[in-house]
Amino acid sequence: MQCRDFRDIADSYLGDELLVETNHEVFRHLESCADCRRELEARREVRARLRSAFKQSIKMRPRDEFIENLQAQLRSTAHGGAKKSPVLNRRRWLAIAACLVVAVAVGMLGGKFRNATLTDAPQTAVRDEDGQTSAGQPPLLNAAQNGAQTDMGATTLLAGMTHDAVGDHRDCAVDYRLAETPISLAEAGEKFDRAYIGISEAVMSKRAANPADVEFVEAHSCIFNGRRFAHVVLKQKGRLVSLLVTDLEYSEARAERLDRTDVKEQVIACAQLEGYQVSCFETPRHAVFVVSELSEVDNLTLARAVAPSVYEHLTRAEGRA
Amino acid sequence: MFERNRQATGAGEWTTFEAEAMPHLHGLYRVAMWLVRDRSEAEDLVQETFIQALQSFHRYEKGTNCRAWLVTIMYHTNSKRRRAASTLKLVADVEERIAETVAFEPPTPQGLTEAEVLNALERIPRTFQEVVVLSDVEDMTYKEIAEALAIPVGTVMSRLHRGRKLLRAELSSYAHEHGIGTEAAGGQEAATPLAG
Repeated sequence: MQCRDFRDIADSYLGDELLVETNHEVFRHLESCADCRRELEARREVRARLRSAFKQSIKMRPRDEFIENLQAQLRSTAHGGAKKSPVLNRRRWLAIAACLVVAVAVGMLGGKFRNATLTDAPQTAVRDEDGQTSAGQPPLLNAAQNGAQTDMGATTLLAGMTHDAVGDHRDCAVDYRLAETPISLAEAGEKFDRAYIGISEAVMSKRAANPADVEFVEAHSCIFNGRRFAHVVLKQKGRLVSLLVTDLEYSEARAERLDRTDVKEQVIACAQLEGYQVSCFETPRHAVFVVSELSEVDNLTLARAVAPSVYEHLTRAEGRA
Repeated sequence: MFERNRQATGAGEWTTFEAEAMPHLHGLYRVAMWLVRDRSEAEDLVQETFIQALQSFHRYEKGTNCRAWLVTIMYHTNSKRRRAASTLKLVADVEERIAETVAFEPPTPQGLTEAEVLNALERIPRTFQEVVVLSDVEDMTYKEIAEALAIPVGTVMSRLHRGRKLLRAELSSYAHEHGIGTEAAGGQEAATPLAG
């Protein structure tokens, strides 16, 4: 080993990140090289100073009052107490107030979309009462390219439900702060929709051809903004992914359209919202969303992988209904 | 399973959470302060992180590194907050190109103070600061850092390598300007490009 080689890996040596064989080479070099021993000592000292600077700095220590308040709040949350924070600062309250104002405004716009989602009538899908394209609509990434496959039925589906799907992914899978406690898929299947039973098995079935690194996290049924979802939480590349299934009002036109199209071709990257990628497809009675922070391609690939088995499961259940 | 996990949040869950997660509060706060550079913001970030961690505690795998798990939640929370504030961070590529320009390494100076090391760290691009802090201060592994920052392990390794190199370059430049550590580093050697 030359001095240059040693200095290239000296930090990894200090961090105990090298293979045993490489460590032996380092030992041998250090035995015969005073300069590198000195260099190693200097780097060790820099690292120690850095750690010490962080760990001793008063500026980087939390206030006692903050620690006490946080512990009290966490204890209260754990015991089912109020989740509102007693230690939120003024800036945070102002931010929340601003968000509420925006939420009310978006909600007023969203009401128009929700009315539009329960029909396949194209003229109501993307335009408001004055015939103007609404600002609240998520961007339709692939609508133009997929024109034949995605027709106005799928577009209609996007307009109202994507916000709810993204909201559910954010509040349930990522932040875990839903207003209403989720229930098991079995219970939701009994009470609301038989198709929810077995949905996680369909997602994870061999037929789904998921990418190898997809992991199952959990499955349940939850409600966001009044809409019930079957929610399967997955993980890929360290990111949480939600597969969300919700009911659609049956439409003969949609059923006929879907009959003519291969399910994989129906899956589209339908929106980018709040930094999340959304892919979606339909069955005659259900809408399915895949929401994540993966790249658009990865999110769409995963949605296309699960689509055939999920579609088969749902349509079979719909046939029984 | 889901129901059982959710209902488990209570006295027993809190005891486990308190034992596993709360000892990392000081470490989390340090990382938060480094991330946001403001006490009030750091308190908000740590508070939000711990609340989310408690509510997702059923997802924590016992026996794994709890601090790394908490740091991952904190980075995720922070990136959402940044997104919400519409502060785009598009400088990583530029920073990495700048880092590539550090061609050779002078010997690392000795005898520097903690404040001087910290100041030098602050002068390197933030992309590299964060991996150096998570690795060399918080002892997280490459894989844990990769998960926290949502980047590939290879990127962590290259950023860490470049980050440490940049830090040493800053320290050498500072030491040279202030006549520090040249004796310990061996006078003539300090100004000589690497042998070997």
